[in-house]
Amino acid sequence: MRFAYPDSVTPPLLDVRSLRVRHHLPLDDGGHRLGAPAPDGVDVVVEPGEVVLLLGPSGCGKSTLALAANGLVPQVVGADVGGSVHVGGQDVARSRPPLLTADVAMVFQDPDAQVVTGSVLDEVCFAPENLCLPVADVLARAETALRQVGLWERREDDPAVLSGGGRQRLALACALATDARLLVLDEPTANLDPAGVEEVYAVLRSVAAAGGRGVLLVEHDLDAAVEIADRVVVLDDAGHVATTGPVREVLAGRAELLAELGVWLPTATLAALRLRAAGVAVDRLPLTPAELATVLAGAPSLPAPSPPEPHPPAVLHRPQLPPSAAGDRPAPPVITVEHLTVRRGATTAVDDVSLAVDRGDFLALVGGNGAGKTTLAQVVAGVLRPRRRAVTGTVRVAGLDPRRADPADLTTAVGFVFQNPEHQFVTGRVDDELAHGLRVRGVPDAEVAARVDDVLERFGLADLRDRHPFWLSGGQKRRLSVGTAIVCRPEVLVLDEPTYGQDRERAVELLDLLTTLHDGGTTVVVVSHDMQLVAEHATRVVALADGRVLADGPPAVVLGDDRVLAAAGLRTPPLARATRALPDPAWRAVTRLADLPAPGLATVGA
Amino acid sequence: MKTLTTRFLMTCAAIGAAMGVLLIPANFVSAPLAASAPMAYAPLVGLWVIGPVLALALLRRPGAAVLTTFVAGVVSSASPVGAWSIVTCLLAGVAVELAFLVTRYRVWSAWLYYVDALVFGALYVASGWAAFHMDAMAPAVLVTFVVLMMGSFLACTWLGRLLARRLAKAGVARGLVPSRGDVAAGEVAQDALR
Amino acid sequence: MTTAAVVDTVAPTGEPATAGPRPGGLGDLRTYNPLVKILGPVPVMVFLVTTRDVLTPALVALAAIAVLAVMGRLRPRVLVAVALGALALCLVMTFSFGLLTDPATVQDTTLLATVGGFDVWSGALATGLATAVRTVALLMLVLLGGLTTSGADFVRALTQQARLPYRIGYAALAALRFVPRFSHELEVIRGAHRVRGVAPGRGPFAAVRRQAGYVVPLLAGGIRHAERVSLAMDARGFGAHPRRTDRVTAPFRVCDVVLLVSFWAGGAGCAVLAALLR
Repeated sequence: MRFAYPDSVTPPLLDVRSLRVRHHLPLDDGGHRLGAPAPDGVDVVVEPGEVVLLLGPSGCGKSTLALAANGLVPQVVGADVGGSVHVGGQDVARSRPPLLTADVAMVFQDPDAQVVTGSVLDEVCFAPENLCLPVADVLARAETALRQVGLWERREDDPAVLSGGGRQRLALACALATDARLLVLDEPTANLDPAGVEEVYAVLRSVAAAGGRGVLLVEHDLDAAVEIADRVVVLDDAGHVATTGPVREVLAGRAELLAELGVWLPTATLAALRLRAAGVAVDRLPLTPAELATVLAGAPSLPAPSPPEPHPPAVLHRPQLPPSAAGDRPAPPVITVEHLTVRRGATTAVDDVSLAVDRGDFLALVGGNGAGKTTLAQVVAGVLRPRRRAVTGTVRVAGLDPRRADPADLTTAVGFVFQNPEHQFVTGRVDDELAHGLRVRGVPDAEVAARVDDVLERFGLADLRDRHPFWLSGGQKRRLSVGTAIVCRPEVLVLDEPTYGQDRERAVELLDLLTTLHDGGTTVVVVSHDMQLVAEHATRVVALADGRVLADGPPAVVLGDDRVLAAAGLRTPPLARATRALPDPAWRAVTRLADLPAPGLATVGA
Repeated sequence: MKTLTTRFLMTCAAIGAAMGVLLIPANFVSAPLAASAPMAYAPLVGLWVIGPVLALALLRRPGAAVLTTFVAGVVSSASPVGAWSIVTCLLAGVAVELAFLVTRYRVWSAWLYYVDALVFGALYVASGWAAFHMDAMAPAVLVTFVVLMMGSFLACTWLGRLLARRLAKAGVARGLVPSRGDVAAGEVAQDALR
Repeated sequence: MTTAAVVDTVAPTGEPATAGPRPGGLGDLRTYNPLVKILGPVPVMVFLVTTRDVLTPALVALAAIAVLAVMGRLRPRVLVAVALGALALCLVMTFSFGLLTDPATVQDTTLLATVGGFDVWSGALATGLATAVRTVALLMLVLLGGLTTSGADFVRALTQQARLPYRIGYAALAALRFVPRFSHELEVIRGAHRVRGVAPGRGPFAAVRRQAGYVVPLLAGGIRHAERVSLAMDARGFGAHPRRTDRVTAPFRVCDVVLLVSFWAGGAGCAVLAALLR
């Protein structure tokens, strides 16, 4: 199918018409069946100088649409495709993805999976070289692109030594060096820490401001994306276009519709919706923390925020502790770390850290990349057992030394959930995966079966029990990995970046699960750099930088301290950014959506 | 060129990289071992066929064995023999590939892998015959030597096929295996989108 | 934060991977074409395998070591290690292969000693020595190219002169990036299996079972990663055209031809000299 454009009009950079994609799902016999269509009948147009944001719940086909822009779907990733895709007037179906490089450039989610060569300069030259440009042009383009992303000075470096944000800026430079006028970015910041997200958006802002290029952006972090987006296309569960239009019109004007679809809204918008429900008059829904601050400052009067609970409800559900002889003496902490120092190679990953975690805490370990939070968490959970001379200090978890304890005992003391769930799968079936830890401990078969069934049921995995764990979807894998840890009923659950690389919907699903476990009495330790997540769920935050504890306290205190956050390479959560300038001290302390006045409590016009 | 998709190339590259990592220490020990204790060296020779057998059994596409060993050679050139390991590895890859080329990539049954291993093993022993001056060896020594080498090739062929089965069960590289004339892609590829 | 203010906090380390200007000149073996260095000595090797005397391989080995010493530009430590290694290899191999030699064929020679039930015949040692020197000579010819050529350089030469499709060459170069990833993944998988109690216990059998358990997850992760990389490569024009621009060239010059001819002449010279001396 070919579209005829009037000669006087330049064709749009991207013109997707009635796109319908059904993925090929391989079967055991070597054939395949077709997946449900997603996207289904979608039109998207990107004009020069425009940033189009593509939103939708997971499974709606956002990434598929992005990959269809240069024909990777269906030419590399097999699928049945209906409708048409044109870039700069060229029919993508009649070309090959590599040939379209001069028209469409792509940036993917995982910065590591986009590095082909051994130096920053070679990397940026890769695409122009493939396009057979003369050497002088290759170098000129490489220099322009590297200067634009701020990496020219580091052109001799191995990409592996760049930070996550640095590598993603490198991927952007590679895209810019193709000189393609259309940039397609598929979740470019999902794997980055807050500093990295900021770096990438600084570059994207400059690209958008320069004009000329068009951008199709698939992104779940709306707090960052709304500032540069011009238009939004929202897909629903079935892969149809739910709504489309200018960014403010859609996100603010149809916020309720989006929330219903399960699409995440900017934190500022969510906060304003909550305020509106509580009776505060909000005429224009804000999209950014700055706008929310204006709304709050301009409101004639604000009801008092929900009083921050002295302790989360978890306190009420704590398991009965054996009465101690000393009567009122507080229960001993479940995790004790004393003067822990861990060296990894030439670097000191954890530097003289002392920490006591009480039973029932929901502790967040925060910090930028390389702060030592993962090392600390892994040593506590017994995942990392450094050589004796590489470590000093002591660690006790539920009375055990995780560095020496037998794995069978350790599983009832502490469970660890890896960043990549696939790392911890050790069997070929979902139910075996859950039973494994129990069998290692010699639990009787009948009880194993009962406990496995229970977890399968609770985590919505009952229908998948005979599947290979690797065949599950991303969200299911994550649930199974948490399941394998909690089936042994550990006193402490440690999770390493549980929301890394996941969309908001899956992140929320997981956090609800963690909150339930926490309410049930489990002590939860989360390594994360998702500041709003930490603000919403943690009861205590420990900020690390260069292996040392920088701050330790309740989220409102730690996350409200700009100096600490900056030193830790972190950023203030969006809601805290909006409330910090308010005159009322009670409001200044608000960092969580849950702190906002609850609907029905406030009197209208008070 | 059309069947040589980047995805296929890079899948072979990943298998080859793993094999190369395995061969770096093997490169270091094999020369001194071959010299000092040929009996200990003989069981090692099969290491060179695990990669190509695994790649062919998993991907069932022409060129998989040769590509995998080429990459393995490049990766394992981080040893004293340097780029020479590319030549050594390629020889193993070509040998494994030949049996399937001869049958025009229509037979994928287990027996072909083992026949291939036996034939290649015999050729390898024959080439070692001259270099090691084996006609001067004591008959008992000779028999042990040959049995160890052939056994090593057979065992490593079995291992390569086992790993391929395990990987296929884990859903790896599905959609790269040709079926009924088309190349299907699926959940694995969709994973790549995430 | 403006773009200009975007500065990385990671200190620059690691070496640039771009092949820089070639130092040395004609006296530096590293500047020669990798194809010549690796494949040039092959005819000499084939010839060596067919020899049975000690003198020819000994002369070839000495010549190769001399070339390495003069033109290899090796660090002195490496050179000493190569020379001592060759000597040690020669000694060990003489005895080990001497022991493997069929006593029946050397009964007519002198019985030198009996070591732990094994008779050491002078004829057996002579056979062992011949095998040893031949092996050392082969090894030296391998090291001639091996110690002076990186795999990446050889791949570049293969794509530029031997008409290897660049996509295959680049797939191999990209695979070099997988190696550090493997070692990191291995560490994580090892930790995961340990806390989950896979194949616990001590002793070699448990250790082997543990190691075996790492292989499939490691390979599966590697292949999935490779597939993602392949999408990024396709999106950057990999394979758009039959050729691509070469920023770094591995030229094939007159001196490379001279080197190739000298390899063959050297081999022939050694054979002639050995025949004359015999």
